[in-house]
Amino acid sequence: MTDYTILHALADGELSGPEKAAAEELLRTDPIANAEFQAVVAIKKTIASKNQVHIDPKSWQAAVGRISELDKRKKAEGFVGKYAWGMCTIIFALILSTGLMRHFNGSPVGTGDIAQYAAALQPFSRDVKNTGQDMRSWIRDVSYGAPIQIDPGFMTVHRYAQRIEENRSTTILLCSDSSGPLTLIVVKGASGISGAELMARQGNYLVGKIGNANCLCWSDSGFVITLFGNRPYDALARVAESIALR
Amino acid sequence: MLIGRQNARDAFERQAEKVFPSVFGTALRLTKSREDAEDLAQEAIVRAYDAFERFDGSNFKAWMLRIVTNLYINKYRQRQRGPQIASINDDAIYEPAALSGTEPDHQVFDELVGEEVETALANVPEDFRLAVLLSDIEGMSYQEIADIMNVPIGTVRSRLARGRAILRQQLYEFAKQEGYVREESQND
Repeated sequence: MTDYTILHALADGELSGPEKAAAEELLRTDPIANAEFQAVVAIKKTIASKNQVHIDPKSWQAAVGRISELDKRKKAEGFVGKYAWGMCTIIFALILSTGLMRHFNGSPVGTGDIAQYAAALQPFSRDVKNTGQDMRSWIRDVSYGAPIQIDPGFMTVHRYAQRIEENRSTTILLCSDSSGPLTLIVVKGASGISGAELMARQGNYLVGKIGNANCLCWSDSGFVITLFGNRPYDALARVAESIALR
Repeated sequence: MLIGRQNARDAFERQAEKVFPSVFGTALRLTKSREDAEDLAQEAIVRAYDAFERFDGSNFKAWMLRIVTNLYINKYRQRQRGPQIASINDDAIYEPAALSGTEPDHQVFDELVGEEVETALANVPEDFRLAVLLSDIEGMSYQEIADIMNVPIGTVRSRLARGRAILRQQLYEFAKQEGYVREESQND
């Protein structure tokens, strides 16, 4: 049986050697083969000459645009991939340093919290030391190492109370000086004072009112120290200057 | 590094722009939809650019047409496949068809316009159509067509013969409708 597909291969220039010779022999001897070959040639010519596709130039421009998008994406991915370790290290260092800061200094304490801690402090102890070197070390002990000192010739401590809550140690000292009673509240584990917009700044201190009493506040080395007294702010500031260890 | 990347892009664009008409034409004849063809051709360009560093440098046009074809098969064929006018059997024995006209084919086909030829080609079953357009429009060799379609050369030869036979029949139908063909009389 004749394989007529060989004529298509001949028309397509895909034959050589004996196969080509066989196809040419078929053309000479078989009229059907000859007609088929002519038909193949006519079809090829028709398809090639009458298949003009109109292409919108914008189509190529759109393809170029998509290549540019791919380039941009690859560039961004390349940057992230290249510096991923660096970025992770920076983020990790930030988390670690924030954690360490909070661990050593604590988070800011709110002005409202100070009053709340003070209100919760009881019972008060009368076991206080108000003389010389003993008083200094005693103050340091009861205030959890706060940077304060009280001069026994200038101020007397009458009672005190302590409380530990939510990783914060609070001490309240009820004192007096020649001008009258004073209250000192020391909060350990606070990096600063939040809600201070309610208070004004005066020198090294924030000043405001809690109830009817004037108060004066400062933070130092992870402690927030608040001084209450029924006296003007500048008078409280003078007391604070004598208490603060700077 | 940046210069190298820019050079690669320039080289790709130079070659891709030259073959874009073939890419788009093949996409259009496969999808039969200008909108789908735009999308297919552009996506093929993007895929090719993404894989350009793996191109072996031998025949860019054949490589691009292979990408278009594979992309079409993987993405478009299933949602576009419609009824086919002939069953595909690559192993069937091919017999030349006897047509009823008295004029030689080339005379009849010369009368047809491009739109009729395009419509006739669109009616050829997909696998046969692809073989015909790759050979007769894009000028690919049998080996290149076999690589693009991922079939043996014998199958390419068979599909070409069948595709052309179907196309010839279709073109004759158009020619008859337009009155370009004189039917053989019963007495001839």
